[in-house]
Amino acid sequence: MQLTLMPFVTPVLLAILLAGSVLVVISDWRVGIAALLVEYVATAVVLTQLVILEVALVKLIAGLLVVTIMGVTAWQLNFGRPGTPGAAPWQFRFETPTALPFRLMAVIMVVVSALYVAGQPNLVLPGLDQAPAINSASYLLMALGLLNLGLTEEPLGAGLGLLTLLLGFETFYAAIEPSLAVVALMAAVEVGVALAVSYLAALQHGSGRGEAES
Amino acid sequence: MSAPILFAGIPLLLAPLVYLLTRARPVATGLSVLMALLMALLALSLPFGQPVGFLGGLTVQDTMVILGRSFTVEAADRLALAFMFSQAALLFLASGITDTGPAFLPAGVGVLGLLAAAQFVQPFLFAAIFLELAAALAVFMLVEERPGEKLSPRATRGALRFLVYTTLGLPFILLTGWLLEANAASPADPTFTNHATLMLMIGFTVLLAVVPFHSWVPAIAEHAPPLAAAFVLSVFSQAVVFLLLTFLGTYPWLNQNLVVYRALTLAGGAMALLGAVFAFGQRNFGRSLGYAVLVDTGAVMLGIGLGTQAGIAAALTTLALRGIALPLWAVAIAEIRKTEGSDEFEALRGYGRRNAIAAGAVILGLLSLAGFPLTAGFPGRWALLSLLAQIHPTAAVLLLLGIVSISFVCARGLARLLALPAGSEPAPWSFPHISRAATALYALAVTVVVVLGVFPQWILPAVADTASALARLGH
Repeated sequence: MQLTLMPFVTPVLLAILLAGSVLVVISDWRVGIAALLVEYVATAVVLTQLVILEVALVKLIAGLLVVTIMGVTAWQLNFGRPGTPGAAPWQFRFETPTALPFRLMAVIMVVVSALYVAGQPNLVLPGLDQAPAINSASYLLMALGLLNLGLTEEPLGAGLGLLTLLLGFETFYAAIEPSLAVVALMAAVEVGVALAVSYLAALQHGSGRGEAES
Repeated sequence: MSAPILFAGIPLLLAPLVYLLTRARPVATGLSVLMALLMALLALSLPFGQPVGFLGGLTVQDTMVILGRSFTVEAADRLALAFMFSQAALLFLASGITDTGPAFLPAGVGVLGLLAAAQFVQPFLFAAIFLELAAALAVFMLVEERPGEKLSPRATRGALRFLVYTTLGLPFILLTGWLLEANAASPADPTFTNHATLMLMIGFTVLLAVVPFHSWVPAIAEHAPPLAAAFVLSVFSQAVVFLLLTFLGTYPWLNQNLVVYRALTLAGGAMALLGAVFAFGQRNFGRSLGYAVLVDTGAVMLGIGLGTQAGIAAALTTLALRGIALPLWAVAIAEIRKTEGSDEFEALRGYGRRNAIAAGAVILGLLSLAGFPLTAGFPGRWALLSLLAQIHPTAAVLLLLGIVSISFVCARGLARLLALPAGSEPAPWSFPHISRAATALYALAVTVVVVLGVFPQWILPAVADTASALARLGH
């Protein structure tokens, strides 16, 4: 399996980079949740280099569950947009944040820094000496997750950043602690965080909505 | 049967049942209080490894293994559990007379189970995962939806920051485990233990809300339902402090490293100073409490930073007495917010004349947290100040500054509570009609705060036993 997936490592790394960057640059929930899905799938693929397929699959399933929780929450909240009679949520235009140039610059700086640090032999993450792709993926996800967390205080957006950060940490932690108990507990943490931020988003965007519409 | 199932499993199983009983509020409250009290009693008295008469001859083992990870209840864990469960029982009891969100009791019971699991898990490093799960569950009680009212972004900010900072602390503590395994492979190389020390220090800095990771504390004190804020600021914080003490007691490379104690003293002093400076300008009872908690956490860290059993005892006294001040503050501030819609000083002008009980309780709770003389918080603060004055006089001054600053804020708040609204005639003092249960609870809490301030020796032996058990762990 490792050999079968080896040719995909570079495109998968690129997918992680793009998805993480899109999460920061575009504040649209639909795009953010799709980007999170890409991150989970790409990470599971890149992890097969290091851990047994079953562990990668468990992480993928946990990721799909997280994306489902976030997706259902966003859908229930009309993807964070004020309700327009007769318009389906998917018909809304994509919106980008007003500080787009700043966000783009920040993403470029963070990506360059993360890739530079990942390339330094003395800064390779523990257990990833033989897996440079996972090392780069971890650095990228953690750096972009932190950047996203620093740029938003909206619960669902910050949740996407927090989950990206956790995913980056888990990616390399799986290399040093691949035991089933820890994999299961970390999956529980991800689901717990997803539920908590979904609850906060539902309260912030959904409170008072019923009364306003009636 | 195993003890971890009893202390962690039963609360976790009970939480959904308590949620289902939300509509039958007195039943849910009674069940939660009973469970917490029973667990506190069992933590202190249940013998392990021998038949227990009142359990029908059942033998309770102290260890349980799940998926290769063991959960073991040790002597020090019993005292930590008794602390946490009795504190939670008090808050659950207070919820009987206070309007709290429907999530408070079930989430609180579930969080207790996860915090108990965090105390048992071996190696201790995996406790960080259970703390994170507890934080995620606690979020559900930290934000309350009011029918027909749109929540402001500020209402969710504290809970979100609490979750984010707990998550940020998680990797640092988990990585320590890997560093310790690496150290076991090459024990002569001190690099791994040095890195592990650094990781642990960063992890606990984040988890204990040390500056600059403190912003969630005043935010939840201001916006979260008061009892839920009190739960997180007491029970959750106690679990983190007990975990820190367990680490210090278990690893000689940690407890014999002077840098660790210096760092604790520095962080504690910084928290006392920052709490004092920020509290000084506050004109809101919620945020004032948040900064008072920062000063209090600084005091706990200063006590542990002394590196002596007396220092740990002073820190634990501070922590235990925080658990008495917070419920009193929470019940009173919930009443104030319910009737006045705000806890800003200016909005409460003259409130003390309309409801002297709640006004008095909120001031007494804050003063006790500050460690003001003749309140329950004073003995712990005094013991700590006496110890600090001999070893770190600067830290003692910073802590004293914290006490003075918060007392000043209390005086300013009290002046507003007693002042007459502009242009109004002096109204007679009134005591609103409250239920017997509320009267009894207010009377009990005020009596405890005042009596413990005068007779601290009633609580100190239990605290000293806990300190001694925790300090003995690694020696």
